[in-house]
This record gives sequence, C-alpha cells and structure tokens, in this order.
Amino acid sequence: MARVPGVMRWMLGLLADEETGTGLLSDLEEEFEDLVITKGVRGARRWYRGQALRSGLPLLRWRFLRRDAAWRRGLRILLWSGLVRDARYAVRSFLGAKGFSVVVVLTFGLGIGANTAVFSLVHSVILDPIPVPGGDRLVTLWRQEQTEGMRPLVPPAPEMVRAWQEEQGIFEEMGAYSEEEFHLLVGVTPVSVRGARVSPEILTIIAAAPTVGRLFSPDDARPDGPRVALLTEGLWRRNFGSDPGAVGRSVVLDGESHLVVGVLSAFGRQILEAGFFGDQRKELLVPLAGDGMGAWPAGANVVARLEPGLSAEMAQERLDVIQDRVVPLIAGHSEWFPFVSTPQQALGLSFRRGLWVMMGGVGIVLLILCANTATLLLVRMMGRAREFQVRLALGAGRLRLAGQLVMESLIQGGIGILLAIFLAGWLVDGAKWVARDAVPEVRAARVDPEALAVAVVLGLATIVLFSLIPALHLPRIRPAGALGRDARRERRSRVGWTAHRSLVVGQVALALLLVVAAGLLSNSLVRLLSVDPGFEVDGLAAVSLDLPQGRYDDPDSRLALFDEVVGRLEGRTGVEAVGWARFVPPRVAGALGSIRIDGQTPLIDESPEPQAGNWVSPEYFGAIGAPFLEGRPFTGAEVSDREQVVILNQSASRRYWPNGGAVGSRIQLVSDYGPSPWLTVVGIVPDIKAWWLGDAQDRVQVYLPASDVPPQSGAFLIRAGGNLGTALSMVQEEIQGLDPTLPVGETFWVGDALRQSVARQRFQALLLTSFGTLGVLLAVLGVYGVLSLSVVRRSREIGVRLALGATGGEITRSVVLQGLRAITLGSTIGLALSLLSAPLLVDLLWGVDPKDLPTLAAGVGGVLLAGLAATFLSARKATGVDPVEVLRRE
Amino acid sequence: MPKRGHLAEFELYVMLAVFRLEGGAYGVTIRQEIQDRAGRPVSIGAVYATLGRLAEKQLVEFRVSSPLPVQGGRSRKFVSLTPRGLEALEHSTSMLQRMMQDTPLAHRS
Repeated sequence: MARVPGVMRWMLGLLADEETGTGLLSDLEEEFEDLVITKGVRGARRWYRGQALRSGLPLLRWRFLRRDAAWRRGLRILLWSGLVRDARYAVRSFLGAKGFSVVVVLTFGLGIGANTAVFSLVHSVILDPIPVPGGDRLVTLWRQEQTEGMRPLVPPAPEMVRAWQEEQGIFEEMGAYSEEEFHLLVGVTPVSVRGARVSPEILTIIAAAPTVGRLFSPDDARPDGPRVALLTEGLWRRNFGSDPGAVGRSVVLDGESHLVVGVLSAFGRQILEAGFFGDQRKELLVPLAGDGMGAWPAGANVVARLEPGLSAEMAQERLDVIQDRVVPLIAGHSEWFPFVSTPQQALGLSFRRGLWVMMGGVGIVLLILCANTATLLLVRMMGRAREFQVRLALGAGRLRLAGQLVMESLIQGGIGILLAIFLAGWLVDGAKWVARDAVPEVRAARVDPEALAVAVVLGLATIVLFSLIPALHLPRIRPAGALGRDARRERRSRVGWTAHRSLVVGQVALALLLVVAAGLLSNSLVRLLSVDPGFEVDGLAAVSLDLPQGRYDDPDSRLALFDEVVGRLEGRTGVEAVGWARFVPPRVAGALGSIRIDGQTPLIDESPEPQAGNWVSPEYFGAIGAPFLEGRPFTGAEVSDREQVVILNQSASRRYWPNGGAVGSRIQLVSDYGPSPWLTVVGIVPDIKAWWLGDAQDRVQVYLPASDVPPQSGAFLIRAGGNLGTALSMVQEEIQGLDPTLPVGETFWVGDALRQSVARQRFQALLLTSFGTLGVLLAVLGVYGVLSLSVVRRSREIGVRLALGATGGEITRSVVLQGLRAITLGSTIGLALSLLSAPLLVDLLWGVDPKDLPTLAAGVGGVLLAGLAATFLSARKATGVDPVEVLRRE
Repeated sequence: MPKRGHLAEFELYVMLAVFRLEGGAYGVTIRQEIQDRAGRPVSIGAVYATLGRLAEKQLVEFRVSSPLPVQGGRSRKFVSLTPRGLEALEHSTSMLQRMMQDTPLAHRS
C-alpha cells in the first residue's frame, strides 16, 4: 500500500492545530488512496505535496489569528481574570518567602538606586553642568596671553568684549561677574560674606527667579545706578530670619548703604555656585556696573550664551577670524588670542575620567545584579518545582503559571524600584554633601528624571526577562513528576547548569575587578592621608581677615594692624604660637616668576613644576611648626624695613645649590613685570604641602616678607588648644579691640583644609569601595545560591552516597571543590580584567601602581575567602541531606 | 442579522457545499464539490481553516462518525449547518440575488 509523503504529513501536523489536524490528515489520506488507484502512486504523491504546500498559509492564519488562539487566550488571562488573582497570589508568596523577597527587593533597590544616582551625578557634572534652558550653550570667554611657556587665561579687556558683542550671530546673550567678599553690617556686628558682582544678564542667563522682591534691572547696572543688593535664601534665613520685610531695607555693605531689592531662589544660587560662575560661595549679589554699552570693568569674568546651533568650536573659529580686525582696536594688548571655554573644559580631565570609571563601576554592579537576580530566581524556581508540578497536575495552565511568575517578580521589582527612587535621592544628596567642596559642580545635582526612567525601564525589563527564564523551565517540569517518581530527571539539564556556573564565574570576575579598583583607590587615599605635610598640623587653626576697600590703603597701616593683633595674641594665656601670612596651606599662591640665581648659569630656571609662593610674618614658621634646616626666619626689622630677603624650601636649595651654600646667596624673581631686586636667602625650611596633600615632592617654594606685597587679606595662624571657637573668639576680640568695624572671615583647622584637599580622591574611593562591597556581597550571594541549587539537584546522589557510607567531610569536600573551581576561574578572569583595565585608573591614583601586587593579591584573597565562605555554607546544606528520606523517595 | 454572521466569499462556497452535500459533507467531499462546481483549485487546508472559522461563528457543527467497518477504516468528521448557519446562508444568498436582480448578470445563472 502506497504511503503519503512523510515530510509533508509531518509538516501539516505541525501547522494544523490538534482539532483540525486529525480530520484534515485523514481526509487527505482518503483522497490520496483514491488517487493512487486512478492516477498512480506518483500522481497521488504529487497531488498530496501540492495540497500540503497550498494548505500551509490558510492553516497558519487560522491557527494564529483565530479568536481563541493560545496566545490571545494567554493575554486575556493575563489581563483579566488572572491578573488580580496572580497579584494576590504573588503578594502571598512574597510574604511567604520573606527572606528571598527581601534579597530580591534589596538587590534591585541598591543596584538601580546606585545606578541612577551615579548617572545623575555624571549627568549633572559632565553632560549637563548648568541645568537651565540653553545651559548647554554657555561658554566663558578668555584672553590667552602669548607669553613663553605658560599661557595663562585671563578675563578679556572691555574693548575686546565690545568688539565681540558687535559681531552678529555668535552670542545670544553676554554677561559678566566677579567674585567678591563683602563686609555686611547687620545691626552692629560686621560679618564677612562671600558673594559676587553680577551683571543683570547673568541672572537672565541662569533663568533665576526671586523668592521675594525682584532681581536686578538694567538700570541697576548703570555706572551711576542705585546701590542695590540681592540676598540669597541662606543668608536671608540666617541673618534676616526669612523676614519678607528684609526686602526694601537698607544694609551696609563695605561701609555704604545698599537697598535690598530681593532674595534669589536657592536653585539660582546653586547654579551660581555650581562651578561655572567661579568656585566661591555666593550669598550676596550686587550689580556689576557697566558703562551702559555692555562693557564691564576690566578683570570681570565674561560668560556668554551662544546662538542656537553654534558650538563652542564654531564660536572660537568666528572669533579667530575677526581677530585681525579686533587687535588694532585695543591698545597695549597685541600678543593675545581669544579663547572660548566650555564648562566641561573647566573640569579636570582626570576628574571626568574618574566619573566615567565610576559609571563603569555602576554598570558592573548592575551586571552582577542581573546575574544574581537570575540565579536567585532559578534557585527559587528549583525549590518550587514540586509546587508547580502539583499545580500542573491539578490542571493549571503553563501560561498561567508563567504569568504568575512574571507577576511575582514584578511585585518584588516594583518594591525594589520604589526603594531605588528613594535611595537615588539619598545617594545624590549624600554625594552632594561629601563632594560639595571637592566638586562644586555637584552642588546643582539632583536625581535626573531621565536617568531614573532609563533605570526603571531597565529594571522592569530585567525583571520580566529573568522571571521568564524560570518560566521557560516550566515546560520541562512534568506534571507526572509530582505524583510519580521521576523528579530526578530535573537533574539532567546540563545546559542550564552550565549557564548557572557561568553566571557565578562572571559575577566573581566582575566583583574582583571592582574590589581591585576599590582597593587601589583606597590604598591611594590612605597614602595621601598619611603624607607628612611638612609642618605640625594638629591644633593649628587659621582665622582669615579681609580688610575693606578704601580703608587701610596704606601698606604700613595694614602691616601695623596684623602685627599688632599678633603681638596682642602672643601675650594671651593659652596661645602657644601665633603668626600670620598672606595664604594658608593648602591654599598657597602660584608662580611668582622664573628664578634667576646670582652667579650661576643658566641664569633663568625653567622649573618643570610651577612654584608656590607666600608672604609671611617673622613668626609664621614658628606658628606652623616648620623647623629651619638652615639659616633663620625673617626678623621684624627685615619685614618693616622692606629688606630684600627671601626664604626658600629644601627642594629649592637642593635644586639650585646642590653642593650647599644656599643661605647668603642671592636670587631674582623674573615675572611679566620684569625682574625683582636681588633677594638674599636667609633661611631654608622643609618642603610643605602648599596646594594639596598629593602635591609634587620637589616643588620650589618661595617665601617673601609679609611687607613685600602687603595684602588686602591675610590669615592668622594660631595654636590655642583644641577648640576652634576659642581661637576664633581670641582673634576676634583682639581685632575688635583695635577696630570694631572689622569682621573676621573664615575660621578653620589647617588639618581639615589639608584633608579636604583630597576630598575628590576620598569621594572616588568611597564610591568605588561601596561598589566593590556591594559587588562582593552580591557575588557571594550568587555563589551560595548556585551551589545550594546544585546541592538540591544532587540531593539524591548525595543521599545515596551517604547511605553507602560516605562521610560528611567527603560530601563537603566535593561540594566545596565544585564551588572552588568556578570561583578560581572567575578570579583568574577578574585578575586579567583588572590588569587590562589598569591604564584607566592611572589618573585616579596617587603613589600607587595600578598593577600594585599587594592590592591585587589582597583583592584575589578577599574574593576567594568570601567565595569559600559561601561554598562552605552551601556544603553544610549538603551534609544535612537525609539518606533515609532520599531512599524512601526512591 | 448579527454582524458576525456575515459570510466572506469562500465561506459562502463552503457553506453552499455543505448545504448541497446534506448529510455527506466532510473535508474530502466539500473540497471536491467546490472544485468541481466552481472550477477552482481548492486546498484542503483552506477548507479546514474556513470550517474552523465557521464553527467559531457557530454556523457549522462537527459530528465525528464511528470508524468505517473495514480494516484501517477511519472515522470521518462530518459537517452540518446549524440553524444559525442556515439562516446566515439564506440571508447571504438572498442578498446576493437581490443585488443581481435586474442586471444582465441575473439572466446568466
């Protein structure tokens, strides 16, 4: 008897659904048999093939478009009857497995929260530093001097600004500001307040809004305009008790009466303090008077918003093109070029790179998190296999069960995402607090809604995907298994097992990568913090004093004031040492010029590192506790008589007089203004960290007598016990005793300022360490989960072995070995990744090689130990297998 | 007439074939009936898909016969019109006839 073509029959069976299939196939066979008689076997087979081929499309359409097609049914179930029931069931099962649910919620919350927070920070610092309309088109305009070697950027001269402004189509809006410190008299107490002079356009550019009153009008900025001032919310709250009546009141600023016209919103102030408009705090604003034609006084910083569609590079090109026309307009400034800088350029490259490393860290945490969630869900799935078997056997649809798994995970993930939203807020606030001084740009940071949306979508996708992985395992669960004895078949999915093991290997590798990076950064931070600053930091307080303009204009009167205060303080009980200087480390001034050594060639020293300079009183070195290596401090007479003397540091002495003999030699400082008189070296002091704790080892430091350039501001350095308030009140009393109108400025521990100088490094180390910890925790959880899963899978084998006389130790060993293999492989991969990514970290490290062997070893050791602990925990589960129970099940 | 009772062209062919074949309508005969009378090649898959759709609209119903009393005899899945199917068929054909009335088309049939 002729047979129908098998392939075609099989294909039709596949295409048709069950109820159509039987009838269709039998009908075809019937006709086929008739045709064999009339047309022969070959004719009949040809006919059959034709029928089969032409039936394909209609059958498929029928199968998938019919109203009660399986997927439509599933969707309906999911959407209607099932949804509510599933949700209820999911909540029940959530509460039933609290530990598991809490772990899933926490991993989700932490991972997505941290991800959103760091992305928000990166976004606010790098991608969108000025979150106002058109903020991405803001630039700062500079004049770049054409001097040899260093090419400093200085604010453009008023004539240049006017010439640029007249050029159409480059700048939409231009404004200027200059940072300033004001003396505000509220009642009778003078306070020193940081702030700025701003042109009204600046407030337009930042789209500032007043909390009370108004902002500046163009009239306010006329040269003969009214004397007005804007408070910011903080100052208004502190010094005016948030009284709306403060607006309209007069305050005395730098000795002159100003009318308060309004209060700037907190957000407006955040933008002004976010690094683009200088890095000083701004609590008070006064108008920057222009000449009425848009030109501002020399020295003001000029910012501009570019025309839409114009990039900073294009603006730069336009300015370069008109340069030839602009140069002749400006007398005395021939050797310069315009320079357009973006907010991003203002940030250090290393800091930007650092943030990307942080982003990488977060990404890795997210990856580990995903792998971990998958593992957790799989483990839980195996634990619930029996439950599903029973439910399948009782007639539950597989789709229903899958839908329910999705629903359960959605509920867990949903709670996790809620947690993540709060966590992201806290983390951003925390980061703002930690990094407020190190990275002024974060001050305007807030949780970025887009970042949050991306993370939430990512989170939801992850949830659905990973709850579908166990759902895909569902078909392998045989309903009979629950009632029969073939549960052991579950064990046979080698593919799934390999996937689990790769998840563990991946997690361990990524965790190690994070741990090593965190270790390197922490190591670098510890080294920075343990650097010897070169003087006695403990107990050294600094109190700054800024003299108002228009008074103490005579250098001698300034010198007399500072000296008098020091003299009075020296006489007080409790004061161990006191001195004063223009600058306090780590905020010492930069290059004073090249150094020319008397009697040596080459005469001009082109030192690779810029030097640090300071103007100090005779008592300064005694006060900061820096011993003289050679020579002596300045004498009082040398300071008051303006003698040509200088003190250098050890590095300078070594560099210029390698054979000794520095003291008594003469040097000259050669700056843009020409050479200084010859200065006689009277002393050599140790190198101190002038700029930050990680300051270059061999930086040349130059100290001049405080009389040389008598400063408008200076600071007292005082040792008076362990209380900062005591030091402040002592200095305050003495100053007020001499001149009651003088306010004291900042008071701080020099040690704090030094530690603060590595705040950026601290911030980065802190972030990466938390990532590393999180990563290891997650990886340990993953190792434990997968090994527990393997123990569950092998429970029959373990039970039989125990029954045959294997000891608990042997079982433990076999489980631990199994885990150890995965962990070792993961660590090896992680180590390789660490070595490969080492170059990325170079910029972030100080005094530590990115391939630092001890750190690598410690990281590997730590991860191995943590992994071992996890394997032992799951091995204990294995020895808990009851052989009797297992054999009974057989 | 409910909208779901509306018949597409091929559905109408199948319904008419079932109607014509009276009690003897099943896959083979329906396919042959349409092919012979309409002179158009018809695939068995199209017939079954259409029958499925008609059954879903409750216009036809199936009755599985007991196997034929020969060796290897199969059971057949016989099709018949439901009362509702009959109503739909009458409605569709009378509509067609009314549309054709007084047109040159009416004389040809």
